[in-house]
Formats: sequence, C-alpha cells, structure tokens
Amino acid sequence: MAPLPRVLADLTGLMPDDVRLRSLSVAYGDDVTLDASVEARSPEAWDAFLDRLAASRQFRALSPGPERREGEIRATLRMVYTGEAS
Amino acid sequence: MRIRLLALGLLLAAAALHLGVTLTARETEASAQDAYRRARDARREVTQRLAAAERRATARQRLRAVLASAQKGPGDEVARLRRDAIAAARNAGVTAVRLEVTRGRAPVAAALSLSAEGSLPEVSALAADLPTLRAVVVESARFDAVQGGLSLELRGVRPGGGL
Repeated sequence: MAPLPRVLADLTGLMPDDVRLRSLSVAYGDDVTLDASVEARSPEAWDAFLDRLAASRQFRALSPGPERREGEIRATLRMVYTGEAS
Repeated sequence: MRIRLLALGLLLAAAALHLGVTLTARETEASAQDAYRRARDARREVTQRLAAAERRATARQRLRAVLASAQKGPGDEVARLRRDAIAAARNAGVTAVRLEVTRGRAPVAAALSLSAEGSLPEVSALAADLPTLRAVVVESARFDAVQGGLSLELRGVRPGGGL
C-alpha cells in the first residue's frame, strides 16, 4: 500500500512554485485514487503542472475537473497513483 | 457310666468344634464384611473427591477461556486502537485531534476515524505512524490546507476479529 506521506510528497514534488495544493483526498481500493483541489497563480503554471503529471509514471488516468479562472486558477483533478518511480 | 462319659466326651468335642471352627468362621466373615464396607466407603469418597476435582478443573478451564476471550475480544481491540491513535497523535505533535473508534465486523477488529491539524511534517508523521507502527490499514484520507498548516481526516481499520 502506498504510504500517505509518499503520495503527498510525490504529488507536491511535481508542482511548480506557482501551484498550491488546497486539498487532497486519497481513497485506497483496488487503485489508490486521488482527488486534488489545486490553486495556480497563472494558466501557465496550471498547464505546466498538468504536463508534469501526464509525463510522470507515478500517476495515471488524469481527469481534470472544473476550473475557475478569476485571476488565479482553482481547479480539481482526479488521478490514480501508481507509485512507480519516475 | 461309660456311656455317660462317652456322651460327655462327644459334647465336649462338639463344643470344641463349635468354638474352633464355627465361631472363627463367623469372625472371619464379619471381618471380611467390615473390610468390604471400608473399601466401599473409601471408593465412594475417592469418587466424590475426583468428581469435585473435575468440576473445579472444568470451572478453571472455562474461566481461562473467558479471560482469554476478553483479552483478545473486539472490545479490547477498540480500546487498544484508541490508545494507539492517541499515542500516534501525541508523538506526531498534531493538534485539534478528534477521533472515534468503533467495533468492526470480521475480518475488521476496529475502525478508526481521526482528524487532526498540524504542520506538513507533523501531519505526515501521523499519516505514516498509523499504518506502519499501529497496524492501521488506511481506507481513505483527506488533506486540507488550513491556516498554519494542514488538516488531516483519516479513516482506517485494524484487521482482526476472526482472522
């Protein structure tokens, strides 16, 4: 089972400086499913974070949720944690 | 005169026979009966003592089973998980701790619902301690950014109770 601190560290490790994690739900089942609520200062930072996640082997099945763009971007994101090394 | 003497002799012989054989046989029989009675009483006493000892042994065995069951039962696991969760929270240094431990159903011995706040290292320490040191299988967790750190809401179970 993927330890929570490692899941948290792997996710935040991929975040650009301008992206902040507001909340993270981790559900352990057949997969380790994550629901993240993220705040990014710019669209570029948000896109960079999504790119890093897509390139990472530690996460799969990325599913971005609704975005709210009011200066900063607030968005949700669902994904599966694989725990594989990058 | 001779006949009288002969009769007297026969009478004395009969008396001697009676005293020597019949009475001795009666005494032997009475003695044997006494011995039999004593043996029977002794056997009855031993049987009664044995039954009492068996009853005490059975009672002790039941008591041991009840005590063992109480020590390993679900109720005890609930208390143990509660103590473990409190110890983990104390070691991690988190605050605003809320927890609820309920009895589980096999194969789950007890279920834990815990929330706490702290810095990232504190919350991470708590999240790491519960599964690794306290045998809690995490079902779900939620981290939220709060002022001054993170809050953690965690649900987990401790296996047992029928495994």
